[in-house]
Amino acid sequence: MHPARQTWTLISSLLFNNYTNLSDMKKLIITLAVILATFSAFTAKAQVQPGSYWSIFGGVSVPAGEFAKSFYGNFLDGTIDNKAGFAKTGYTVGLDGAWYIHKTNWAIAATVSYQDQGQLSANDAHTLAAGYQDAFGTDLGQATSHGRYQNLNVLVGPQYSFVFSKLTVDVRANVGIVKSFSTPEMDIVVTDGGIPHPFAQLSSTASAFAYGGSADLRYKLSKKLGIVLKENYVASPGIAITNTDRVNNAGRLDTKQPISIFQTTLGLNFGF
Amino acid sequence: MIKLKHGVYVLLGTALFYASCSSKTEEAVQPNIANETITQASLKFTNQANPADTTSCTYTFHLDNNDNVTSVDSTTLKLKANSKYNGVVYMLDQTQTPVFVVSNEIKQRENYHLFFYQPTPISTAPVISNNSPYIPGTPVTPGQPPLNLSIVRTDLDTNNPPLQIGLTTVFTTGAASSGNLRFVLRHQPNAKNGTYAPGSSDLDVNFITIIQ
Repeated sequence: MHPARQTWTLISSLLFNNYTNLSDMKKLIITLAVILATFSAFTAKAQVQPGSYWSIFGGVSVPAGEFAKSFYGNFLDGTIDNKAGFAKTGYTVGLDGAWYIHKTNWAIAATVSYQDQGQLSANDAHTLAAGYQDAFGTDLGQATSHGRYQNLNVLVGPQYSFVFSKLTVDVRANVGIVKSFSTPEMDIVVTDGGIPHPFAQLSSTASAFAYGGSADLRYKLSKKLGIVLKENYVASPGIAITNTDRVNNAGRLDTKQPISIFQTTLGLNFGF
Repeated sequence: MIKLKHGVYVLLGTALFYASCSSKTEEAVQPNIANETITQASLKFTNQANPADTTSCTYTFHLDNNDNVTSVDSTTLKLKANSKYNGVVYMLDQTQTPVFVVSNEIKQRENYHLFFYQPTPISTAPVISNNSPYIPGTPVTPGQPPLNLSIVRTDLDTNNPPLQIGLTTVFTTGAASSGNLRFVLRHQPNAKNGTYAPGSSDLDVNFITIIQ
């Protein structure tokens, strides 16, 4: 197949797929931005050389995939979801920067950001209580949860920039680590025949590999100052989770919590 | 510069708003639900030496409309002397339509269920381990002729390491004798370790047993 036709097939499949949620749409936007950047980087000359900068930003952080699910599943039909994270939409703040390679539009970029993805709600605790009660076939299920998803992302990667007068479009790929400061602790007690059987999923402070990509718009307010609107995607295969007093192999058991988040941020950037 | 100030105010306001969100404890208790109802429990046996030689015993609970037990009846277990039988547990909930096979659900929930089989009378205390189907604390009656019956469970669950279940067994008979077989299903949620002690009993019945 002709390369142009292959490209159109790829783009049309991305455009005309049945996107059912916000996450899919954001993935589409980032994918298209990366495709645009890749093609432009090899076919067009940059009009203006961008300057290195750092920025401070804050915004909303939206969980996706398993991380966002608030689902227990059913023990008997084998649909228990061990990876549902019960994470909530929260906030992110952080620092960002890009250092351009001499006379090119390519830069080495880095981001350090802090995220809070909330905690379990009363409904989530009910979901867990009912799920464990069913899974262990007991008279009573009780779930108590405290603690929040709080973590730090440290990501680095290549960035390519398109400069249009005062406006710059940046696309970036990232790899790095996610360092968890806490995850929700879940204390469960299943009671049968009046005898309580407690166990717990503990808060995690583990670190794990993370990766992602971003696209942003930077607008120059002055020679050294600008504002930046950014869409960022970060994912991790999972941070290790410790469980205590799990005697039998039954019911939800999360030993590795995958993380997947979309972040929309607004920031100030400073040239140097 | 005014635009810059507005931007800083927005960022600071956002940070302060989110910083005010504190961690709190959420607690939920799921209301009581009834365990599975067992209205009939049967043990079915096949002689290893002769598959055509089968026998069984059944314990039945008769319930009123409010699921209260009004009466019980049981059949006698008759086994041949000096024989080996493969045993299978079969339990029903006859309050449901169609009749619900509880033993199938016990198989699905095998990792926290454990069956015990205790012949009586016994002349010496049984050896108790996490592979023993016998019930600790069973009274020893040296003056009485014992029921010459030994039992081994033959199935394993998916715990790590695997533990016995007792839905299938091998019964080995000795010389002719008579007594009782106590049959117990222990429900040991997140506590099953192969022993009798943890948890509570879902079923605890006796069958008159004759070895002839």
